[in-house]
Amino acid sequence: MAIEQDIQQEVFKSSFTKAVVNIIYTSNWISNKQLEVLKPFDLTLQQYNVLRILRGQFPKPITVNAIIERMLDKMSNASRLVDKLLAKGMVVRRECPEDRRAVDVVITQKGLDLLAEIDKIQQEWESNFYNLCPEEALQLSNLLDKMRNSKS
Amino acid sequence: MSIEKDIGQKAFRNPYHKLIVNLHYSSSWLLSNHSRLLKPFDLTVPQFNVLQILKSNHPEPSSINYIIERMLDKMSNATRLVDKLCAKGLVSKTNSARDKRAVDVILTAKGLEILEELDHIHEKIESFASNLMENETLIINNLLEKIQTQNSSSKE
Repeated sequence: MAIEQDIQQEVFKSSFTKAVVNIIYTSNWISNKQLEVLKPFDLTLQQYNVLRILRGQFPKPITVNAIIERMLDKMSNASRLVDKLLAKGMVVRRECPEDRRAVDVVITQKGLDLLAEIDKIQQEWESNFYNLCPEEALQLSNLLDKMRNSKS
Repeated sequence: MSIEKDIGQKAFRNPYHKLIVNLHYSSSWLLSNHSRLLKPFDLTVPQFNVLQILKSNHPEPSSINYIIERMLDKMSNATRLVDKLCAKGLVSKTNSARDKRAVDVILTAKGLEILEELDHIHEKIESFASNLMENETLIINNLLEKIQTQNSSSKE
C-alpha cells in the first residue's frame, strides 16, 4: 500500500494506471534518495549522469549530441550541464577534428576522482536498497522494456 | 537487452543498477508521452497533477501543504506551480480562514472546464502500459512496492 499512502490516493482506476503512476513515483523517489548521496559533492543528478557517460567513454572524447542520446532524461539541457561541469573543472572541451562546429568533451582526472569517491557510497546505498532478489530485479527490468515495446 | 540499446550502454554493474537506470528511463519515457498529451492544453505534467489534486477536493479549497503531500514528485515547487496556474486563470488563491498565514487554493470555472476537456486523458495514460498483460502490471506493482517498503523500514 506504499504508493496509495504516499500520494494519499485511495484507489487507482486499474492496475495499468497504477503501474504507470508507480513507475514515475518510484523513479522520483529513487532520485530524491540519490540526491541525498550527491549533496555533499555539490553535484546535481543530471551533472552526475553526464559525468558517468563521459567516464564510460574515457579516454575517448564524446560530442554533446552523443551525450544527449545517452542521457536518461532526454529533456535536460546537455550543453548547459557541460558548461557547469567545465566551470567546476570536471570536464574539458576539445575541438572535434572531423567537424569544426561540433565540440568534444572529455572528463578530467578531477572528475574521475570524484566519481570514484561517489562510487563507494553509491554501492553501499545500492546494496541496502533492495528487498528484491537479482531475478526479481531482472524480471522488473524486462517488464519495463516490454511496456516500452523496446526489443533488442 | 533493450534498455542497453535504448541508452547505448553495453553493460550494467549488476541487475540492481540496471533496474535503477531502467526505472528512470521508463519514467522519463512515460512523462514525455504524458506531456505530449497535455501540450495542446498548454499544461505541464506537474501543473496537471496539481489541478487533479484540487479537483479531488473540490469545491473545498486545498492548502499548499495538502497539495505537496499528494504530489507525485515531492521535489516540485508547489507554490510556483500554483502561481503559474493562477496566472493562467485556472486556479485562485484566498487567505485561509483557519490560518491567516496560510493560502488556500481552489479551481476556477476555467480550471474545471479544462479538466472536463481532459477527462479522457486517463484512458490514454492507461494505454501507455498497454503492451503489458494485466498480470504483468500486477507483478510490476508488487515489485515496486517491495522496493519502497524495504526503504521506509530501513530508515528506522
